[in-house]
Amino acid sequence: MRGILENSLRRYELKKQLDTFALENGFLPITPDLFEQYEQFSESNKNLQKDELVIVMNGRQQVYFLRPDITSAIMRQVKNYYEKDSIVKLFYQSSVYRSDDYKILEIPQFGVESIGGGSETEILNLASMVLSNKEIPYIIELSNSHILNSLIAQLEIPEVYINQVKTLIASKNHDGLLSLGKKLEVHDNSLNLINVLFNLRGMYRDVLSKIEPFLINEKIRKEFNSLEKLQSSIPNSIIDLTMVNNFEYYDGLIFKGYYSNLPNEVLSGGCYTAFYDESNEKVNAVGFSLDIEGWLKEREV
Amino acid sequence: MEMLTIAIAKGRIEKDLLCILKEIGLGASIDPKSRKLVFIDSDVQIKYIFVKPVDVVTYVEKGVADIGVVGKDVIVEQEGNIYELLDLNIAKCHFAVAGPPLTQIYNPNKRLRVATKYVNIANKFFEDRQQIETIFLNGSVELAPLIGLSDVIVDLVETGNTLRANGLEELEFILESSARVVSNRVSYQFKFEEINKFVEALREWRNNNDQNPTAK
Repeated sequence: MRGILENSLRRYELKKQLDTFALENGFLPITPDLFEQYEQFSESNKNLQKDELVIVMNGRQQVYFLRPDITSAIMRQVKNYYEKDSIVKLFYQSSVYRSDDYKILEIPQFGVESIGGGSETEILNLASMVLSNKEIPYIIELSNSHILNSLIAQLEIPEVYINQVKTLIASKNHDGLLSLGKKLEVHDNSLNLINVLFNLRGMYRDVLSKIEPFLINEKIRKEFNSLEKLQSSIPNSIIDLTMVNNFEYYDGLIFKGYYSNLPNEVLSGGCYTAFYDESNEKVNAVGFSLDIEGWLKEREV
Repeated sequence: MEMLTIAIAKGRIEKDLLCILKEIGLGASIDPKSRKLVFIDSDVQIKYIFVKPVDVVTYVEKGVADIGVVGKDVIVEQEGNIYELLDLNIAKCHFAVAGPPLTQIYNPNKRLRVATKYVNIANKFFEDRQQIETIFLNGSVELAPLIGLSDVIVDLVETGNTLRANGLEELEFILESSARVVSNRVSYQFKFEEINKFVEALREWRNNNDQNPTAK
């Protein structure tokens, strides 16, 4: 029993370090709502696996589900109190829920969100500091959803196939995408792009040499160039432009963090449109979430 | 150089893959006659583990193996969170709905009874097409319609000989299957050079052998 309690205390102390870290960096705590409205959430996250959601019903037979993600819940809460042009920096330790055949999984997460113009570099640096541990190698993978969307648009594949294209890209399925392109009789340029697409990984200079012909406008070129600055300032970072995030609200920079000993990513985040304020202006945000169990596992070894 | 662990599906894929590995100068340590399940090419730092086809995705997904070579049938059925890096174009077959000749598959007033080992694939295929009752069987699926256990089956078809021998015929095509090279998502980050080198060697072999394959 003593061993179990000591382990519990150690985990408590480690989790407390995350809270202290966020507070020291100017973030304030928030408790996110547990329930999401089914229609609203699934409409804006069409790629989400519906069979992974934990669905519940209220007394009036309205369908809700336990949040599969915390960011959306926080945005809804902040929107009502947001003051124009302010920067709201929040952090949380809470859980997301997934259905897994016979079980319901509770996945504890720690996360930070900077709403109203936070700095990408600041958030990525915080992500790097959270992952950093001199004993354990880690990698932060960087990408940008606008660049990937621009590349997908250049494939000239009919809209009805875009979700399939994204699924193939997310699973690095080069042959599958090539075969779809051939089936749809896309142009040779599109087939060339498919062949290049899965090599858009590495340091900025390496990726630049391959992506150059496909940076078709100034906006996309600028977004790609911004990855250089981020990569040079974030240790252990690598660019992979075929990275796809499950949550479709990401809008611009996206990133994931990995430990070599864990089979899945331990951290993910990026930029997104938080909401539209009272004057209907877009309020941007940037943040990340950390899989606490994975993070603790690496520290308990 | 870090050790790369490759999980290989025993059986048909294993036989073909061993020929390919030999052709591209790998797998020197593998003795096909041995009952050992683990072999190591020390010079190129590759460990091969031989596992049941249905377990390959699990080994890769959980990170015990960095790479796996397994049929698309297993990948689709198990829906693992893995990368699918290469279609080796070997061990080709396809999924089909089969049953006694002239069986009517689609009927809005009737629930079709489908016997299969591939419950996920069957459910997905019929999802928006027909109400079904899936009956899980581990083997000899062809028997099910013959003895009235099911109306049709969903199974892998290679030559169609087994179907014909049991008086069944292919009623509808579902999807193609062949051997695929898959990788763990985190290994792909940390062992990218090693994984890429292995995959590109296999890709080159496949491209050279696509017209005149030796291992198909």
